[in-house]
Amino acid sequence: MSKNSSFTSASFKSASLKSCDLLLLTSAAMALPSFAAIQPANSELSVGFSNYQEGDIKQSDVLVGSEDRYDIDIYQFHLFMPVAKQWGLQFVAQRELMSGASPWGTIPAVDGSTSLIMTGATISESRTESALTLNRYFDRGQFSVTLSGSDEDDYDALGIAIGGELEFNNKLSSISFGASYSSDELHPEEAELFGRINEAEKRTRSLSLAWTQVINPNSSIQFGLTLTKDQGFLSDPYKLRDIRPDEKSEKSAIVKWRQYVPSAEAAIHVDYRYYTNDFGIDAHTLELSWVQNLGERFQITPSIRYYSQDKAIFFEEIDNYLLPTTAFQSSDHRLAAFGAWSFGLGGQIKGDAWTVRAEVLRYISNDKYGLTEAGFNHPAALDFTSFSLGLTFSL
Amino acid sequence: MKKYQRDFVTMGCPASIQIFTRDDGETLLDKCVQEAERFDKKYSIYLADSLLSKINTAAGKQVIKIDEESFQIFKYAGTCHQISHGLFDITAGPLSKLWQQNQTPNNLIPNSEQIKQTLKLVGWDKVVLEENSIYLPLLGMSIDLGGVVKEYAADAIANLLGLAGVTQGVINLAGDICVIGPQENNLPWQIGISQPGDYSKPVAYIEMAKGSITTSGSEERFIQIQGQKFSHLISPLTGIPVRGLKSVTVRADQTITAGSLTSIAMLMESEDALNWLQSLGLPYIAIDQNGKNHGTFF
Repeated sequence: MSKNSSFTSASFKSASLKSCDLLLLTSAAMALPSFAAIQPANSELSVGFSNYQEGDIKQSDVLVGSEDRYDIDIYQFHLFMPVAKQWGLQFVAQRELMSGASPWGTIPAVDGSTSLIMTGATISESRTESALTLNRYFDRGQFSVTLSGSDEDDYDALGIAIGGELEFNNKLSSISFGASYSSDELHPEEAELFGRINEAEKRTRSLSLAWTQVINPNSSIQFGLTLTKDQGFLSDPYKLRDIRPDEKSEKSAIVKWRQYVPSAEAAIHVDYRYYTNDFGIDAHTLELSWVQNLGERFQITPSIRYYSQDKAIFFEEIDNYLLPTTAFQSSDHRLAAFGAWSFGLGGQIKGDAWTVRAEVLRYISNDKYGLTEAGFNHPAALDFTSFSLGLTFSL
Repeated sequence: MKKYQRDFVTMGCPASIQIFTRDDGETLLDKCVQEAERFDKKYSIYLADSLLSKINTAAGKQVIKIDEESFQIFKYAGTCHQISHGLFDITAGPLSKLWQQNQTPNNLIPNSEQIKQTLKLVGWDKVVLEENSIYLPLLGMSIDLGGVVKEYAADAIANLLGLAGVTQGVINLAGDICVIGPQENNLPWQIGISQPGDYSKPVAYIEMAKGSITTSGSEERFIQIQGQKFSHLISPLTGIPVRGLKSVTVRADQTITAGSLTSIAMLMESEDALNWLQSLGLPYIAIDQNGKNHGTFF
């Protein structure tokens, strides 16, 4: 470095990319064949472990059963392999081991409040899920087909999904789309003993479309829509009185904004999602993340998420046995009106051919957190803490 | 990981590639050299059977079919023309030819009529570019992809190495430098920025672990007519050699972008060039005619 230099010190990364000329030039360059090949160069192997621990329910809210809620260990495996020049193959597998109790139903307490009937604490289940994806890469996008399957003692699911992405306008704009179909089979345990349905089916179809626009070298925005149709047995077979319609239409709209802040070597991620379904639930989710680079190898990401939903039109605070069995009702806490806050902290360390990621997340929910206070806080309102650790190798 | 190095000549210039790999580095370097030669054979104006020579020979006569790669390169050159408001023009060859052919003791500086007539053969906006064809509508028009192809070749070689799994190395095609990744032990490469006309005295050393850097200068190449020195860079707007900066070095993510930016800056008046470079927000070093350094350090 020249001692006589009169240059001002400034790092490359912190350069403020204000110029429209540079954006035009970079976009034109990215359309060149050498940059247009978006296929990842290397095989990639990831392994991960997560633990999800639901907070216990207050003993005073439980009439029968255990107050210990779910504790889930999740083991993940992911392998990506380039195949030929423009193809890629991905395999994802996940094994979940669950133990704990879940709410069976609600019943009036002596003081007029709502008590829970819980399952015993000895329930332990496992679920295995896997998916195989074939990607085809083009100069201006990619296309993928995914086959997936999931297996539990009482639940099997098979799915197929197609997806793609098309870039245009000198790669400043892209459209991504997806369509999926899954067929699920339920065969609840101890069906005869508890009068549960012996077996049932559920089918889910989903369509999604998203538009991503690069606004300038430091920011981009995405708008997306998803339509989902569920048909079949949509009730919870393990609850004592849970009768839901056999069709559900869901719609969701998302807006994602990404802003890089050169002076801080960080990026702001803002995501908003509106969700509505014909069970009567309208929900809003707003998530803010700050992705902070610390040198070339470290990254730390604090995040906060707010969620609020209305209750389903057939939600009952207390299971109503006077209603005919053809009338829709459910006391499932997931169908109640509530709000939730999530606080996350993620970190990443990057080596030459490996990356370690870790994240801890705390989730708390209450009817008081909702945009409109419901006046009823479900005794099974969920709080949980999750921790995840992942390791990715570039092979 | 073993280090492999290859020094060779491509596009009439010295070139060098250094990589670190566990694979067969020599075979990889062979492929890199072949890739550089592919660009030379396709886009050289000095090889009669190159695509560019065919396009130039067909000027005013016929449409020439081109492939996707060539279309995108010409389109990129068109974007350079657009953002430079016509200063960067790959059809400016006839002007350079006019000034260079006058470099004999008996010749004079081209007169205004000669320049005016030659300017009629210059202008990217005259070129008919379609997705699979190109046509130069006037006899005598020509295209020269200097400032684009060598730089793009460096990026293409980097891409080739990336697809082969090489993440550490540096490509140097006659001063157009593309750093794929750091040296062994993650040490950055030391890149020297030379004084125009004097490569023995770098004005600065830059540590780079990734990215591209290119330099354009007017000192080492010039046109001399009757003892008077002119820049080899001729403005396609006026037909007269420019007298702007002595040298410009730009660092960017892609070599082709860095190369175009330095070329455009060199075609501008000094003050305009400095303001424009500053507005880009990229690290650069510019040296003016008085030898004064400007720009951000890396």
